[in-house]
Amino acid sequence: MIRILQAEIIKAFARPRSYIGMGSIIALVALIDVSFYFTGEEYIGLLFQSFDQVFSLEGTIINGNLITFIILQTLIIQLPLLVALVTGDLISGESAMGTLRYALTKPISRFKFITYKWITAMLYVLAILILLGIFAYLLSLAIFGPGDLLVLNADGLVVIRDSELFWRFMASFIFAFISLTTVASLSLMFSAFSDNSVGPIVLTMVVIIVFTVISSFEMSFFDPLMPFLFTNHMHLWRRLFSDPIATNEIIQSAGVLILHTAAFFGITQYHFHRKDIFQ
Amino acid sequence: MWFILFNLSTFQLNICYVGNDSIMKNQILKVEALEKYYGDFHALKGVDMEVNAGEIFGLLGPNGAGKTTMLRMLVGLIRPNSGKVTFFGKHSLQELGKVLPRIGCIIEEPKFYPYLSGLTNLKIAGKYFPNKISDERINDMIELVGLKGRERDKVSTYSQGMRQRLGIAQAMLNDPDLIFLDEPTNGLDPKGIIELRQLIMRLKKEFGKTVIISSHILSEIEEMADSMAIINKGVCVSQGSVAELLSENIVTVSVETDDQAAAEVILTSLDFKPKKDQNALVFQAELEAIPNVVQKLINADRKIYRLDHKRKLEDYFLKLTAA
Repeated sequence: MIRILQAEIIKAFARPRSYIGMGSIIALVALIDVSFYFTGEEYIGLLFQSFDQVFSLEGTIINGNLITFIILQTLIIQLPLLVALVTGDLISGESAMGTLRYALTKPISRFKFITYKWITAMLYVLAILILLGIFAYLLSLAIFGPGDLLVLNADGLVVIRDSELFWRFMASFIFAFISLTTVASLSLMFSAFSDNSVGPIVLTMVVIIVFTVISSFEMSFFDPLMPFLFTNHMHLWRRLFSDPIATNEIIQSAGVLILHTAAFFGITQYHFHRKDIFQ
Repeated sequence: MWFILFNLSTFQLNICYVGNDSIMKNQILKVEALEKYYGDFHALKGVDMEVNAGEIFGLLGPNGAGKTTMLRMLVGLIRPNSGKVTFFGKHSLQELGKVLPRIGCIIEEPKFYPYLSGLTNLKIAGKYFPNKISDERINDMIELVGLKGRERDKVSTYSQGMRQRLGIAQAMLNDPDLIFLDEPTNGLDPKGIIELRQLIMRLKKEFGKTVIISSHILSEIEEMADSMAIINKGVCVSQGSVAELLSENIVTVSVETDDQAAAEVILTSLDFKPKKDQNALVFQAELEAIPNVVQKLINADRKIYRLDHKRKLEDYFLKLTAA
């Protein structure tokens, strides 16, 4: 069965669009690193201005860990869109090209076909995150060196020791993987319903934007909806950088995201199994 | 069933038993009362069809008759509302997992990943089969369809004819017993059509494949097929061997006499509808009516320079699908 996965990987990774996301990540990380290298002090000075009168900050505030944290904060919002660009096209792109009917006339069940597409989507997400990890974490550490991380969140300023940061970053990447898996599954689901490449990508983006906008309204009217908006759980990775770590909240959110993924996967399988292939 | 065979050359008498399986083995596909609705539209209205092993079977019908719908159902792309299909004498549509490894197909025009080479496309197709398709087999198929030398070029650079041939190569990858080709000559130039026709004939003669070709091009079926079914408006209106179907039909008669105007009057009086075609009068008649036509022309002192008749699929097809 590894051969089918090979085929799916060749198909997905041979498309130029698969590298748009990767290229964007490399470019953005490089830009952030360069901008911090030249004007980082100024930026951090503005950020921590209010704390200057309360206490003095010693040591290298601008270090690889801080840059990685800033990059994660910036890019994790955009990553779902980059993921959807590829995963939203995995089934509908084949349908639009007419190759879907050829794949499905081969001796492979529709369940397996969708499962391999889903695994391919997960591999793409993983590739994106590994790339982000290498460029954001390793490159920033190489340029700016290690150091303690100052995190400004709702509870105030948190200082996290350098020695604790590696596993926290790893955990945040795992959480990002769970989040992006949900996005990838959503776009794959839309992809199974559509016969053109653009629709599922746009629809995924619209869902993410609408959910994010609803989440940002702090009105009681939307309260009952909040637990069901998966985008609401995607930013929980930041709690890995609080003190103490909100473990229960993080596990709960990860669970909600996994449930969403399972639901999207199930709907995709159910619909695709019954779908007549005309394209 | 017991058979007694007498060999004339050796004067030997053989008695042998042929089991039901052997008889059934000849029938590679049986379709019974297959129906498909698209909403309110009744696309297939209970189609019956039988295809024997080792023959080229033509599925003929005008555009929109239901040919592609039928083929799509036979390879599992769309689901019938009712009906029964038996592959290889034992497998139903519900057992496509067992059937598809023995089937190759081109449904509508062959589509490939344009950003990949022909070779990579075939390798990808090969990965979906339970048994590994060897590189040697892939190269053999490339050679068979005449794409040697171009296999490493991207499919986006291929002509329509080359894509069609690549389609046949992918349909042959698994050495199938049954091949479905849906409108295989669509979009090809005359040279491409001839080449593809020769290739299809080779599949039958050299490799013993059963090929089901759907087409709306009559000459294609007439030239290649051993048997055929005519589908019109979702109904199978006729089925049998091409020779049989054509022999039981009206013929197109062409006659040249010394006085065509007088001959036309005589033919019209016999209830024919002659039309001028260059020097000849052409009309349709039943085979049995021709001696009477000759007699009437002779009785009217007409000199007959030429009279011939053709059994054309076109006539038969138009008769069946005219309504």
